[in-house]
Amino acid sequence: MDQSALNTASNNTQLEREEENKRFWIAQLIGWAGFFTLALLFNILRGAPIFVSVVTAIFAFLSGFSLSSAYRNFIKFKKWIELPPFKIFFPAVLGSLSVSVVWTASFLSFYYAVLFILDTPESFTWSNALAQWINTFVVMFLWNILYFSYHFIQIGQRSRVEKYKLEVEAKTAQLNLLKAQINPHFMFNALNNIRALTLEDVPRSREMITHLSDILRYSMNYMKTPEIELKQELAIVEQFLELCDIQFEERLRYKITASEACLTMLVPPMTLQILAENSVKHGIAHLPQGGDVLINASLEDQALKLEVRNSGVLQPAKKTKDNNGIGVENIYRRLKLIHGDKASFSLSQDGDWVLASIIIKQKT
Amino acid sequence: MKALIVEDSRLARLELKELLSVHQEIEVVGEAENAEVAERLIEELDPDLLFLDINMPGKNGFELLESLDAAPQVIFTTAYDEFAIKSFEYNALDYLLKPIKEDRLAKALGKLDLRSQENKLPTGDYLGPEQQVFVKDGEKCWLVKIEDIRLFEVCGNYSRVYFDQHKPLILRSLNQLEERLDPEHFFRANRQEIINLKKISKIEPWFNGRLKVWMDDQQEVEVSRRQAVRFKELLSL
Repeated sequence: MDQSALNTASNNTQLEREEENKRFWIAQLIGWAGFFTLALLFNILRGAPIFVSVVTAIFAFLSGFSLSSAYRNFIKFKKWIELPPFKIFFPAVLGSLSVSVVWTASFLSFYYAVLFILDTPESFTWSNALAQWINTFVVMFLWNILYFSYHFIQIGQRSRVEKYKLEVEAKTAQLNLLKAQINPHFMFNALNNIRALTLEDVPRSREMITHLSDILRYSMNYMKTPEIELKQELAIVEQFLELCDIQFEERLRYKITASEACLTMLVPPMTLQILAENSVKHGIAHLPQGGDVLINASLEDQALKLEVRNSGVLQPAKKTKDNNGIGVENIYRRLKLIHGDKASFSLSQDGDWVLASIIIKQKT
Repeated sequence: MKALIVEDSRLARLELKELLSVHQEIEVVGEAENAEVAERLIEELDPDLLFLDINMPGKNGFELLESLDAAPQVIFTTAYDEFAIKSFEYNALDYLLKPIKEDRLAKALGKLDLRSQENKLPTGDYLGPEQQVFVKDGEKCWLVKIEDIRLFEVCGNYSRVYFDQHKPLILRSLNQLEERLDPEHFFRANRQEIINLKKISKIEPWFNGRLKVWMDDQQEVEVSRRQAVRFKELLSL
């Protein structure tokens, strides 16, 4: 039992506590009523006079009921419920012993007193006392088992509910945190290039401003939907690459291909965008002669397969210096949160290419 | 004043030329799209000023500077590189964030040393006192004027450069450095050290015909017996 579960168990609300209390008294009453019936039957079958049987059974019922109720207050006071289940055994045995001793003593005094008053005295024997004590001990021990198992089942359930709640909260928090930002280096270079482009090609520079604003809007809004149609994502990636084109010109060659069937499938937004950005930032930008970025989406064996490849060599992760690690981590975690085991992500060297690939198995 | 633009994006070079067109004192003599081309053009054109992008394919801006014997004045241009800019400790003329503002460029150009280039010209094969070397040590960078360097000290295949309170390493051996330093200005005191003659505060005779020299920061250097003879000759001139 972990600490948080215990805390939740002891921190339950006033309402829950009242509900709990009500349930206890009902169970207590029913349990001891059952005991009363059994005791009565046993006495009668034993051949005791009816009056004695009824009176002693009533006394056994009342004393058992009140002693166990007092014992429950003691348990609550000592906070035994907060102990781990395996540590409760000895206190429970000890508790049963002490209660049963008191109970046996009072019961026997009452029993002999009744017989004495009725003028049918019976002589006290230790064997009778012992048998009585064993009986009461068994009853009390049973009471302990029922009492504690009820509570541990309750705690278990509550902690499971709590765990689910925490998981959901964690997921929401993660998704909110995973806001990928447009790389500022890209953004300011794009603005600088567009500024220069106005000197030689005004219509194109106007188009580039629209691209840039589309990308910014997309990157700010994408958290609002967990998934988006692939064609929308590809449109943004294309705009992004067009913007990179004015930075790298002949150094960047790119091609986007997608089979018709994939276009309406759902992907977490900004995934291909982040991969394309990495391809340019860590691949093309480091190659004096430039290189290619190839993006392909296809449907294979009921799985959406997304591939982003760029010329170059996969660099070992140097997470401290850039946010490559963060971008890839972001994609990986969002895929896991949405698709669990049905999605996979890998980054590898494939000949002269650095290959990032995502596979999302489609629900059938 | 001759300027070279080192920048991988053609449009960014166009933009910078456009911005510089109103500054008559700056003549853009060449453009390089990467460090390799820049090295060749620096050799060929001997520019007084570099506009230098930090992020470039192949060698980056810092690595380019490290490969030069002597660096011209440098204005860095960068889109977004706080890390690189913060690392710069010493003597970079300025850095400009792209897109570059007209007034910000004018301010940077205002800091240019437009004095006669005499001091900056190499004296024969040697580095002039006002020429600067680029030093990078770990994550810190400096552009140091030759005349500000107090002492060079052997450190394996590297040399330790002492100036102000800093003592970073550069990737040159002491012998390599000695060849490029003006012997009228720098003196090989012993196998381990080269000292700046203009940064000496006190000299005393020492044992076995050696000399003890105190630099202006009170650092002590011993001149070996063999070098002490040459040292006396040099100073008596």
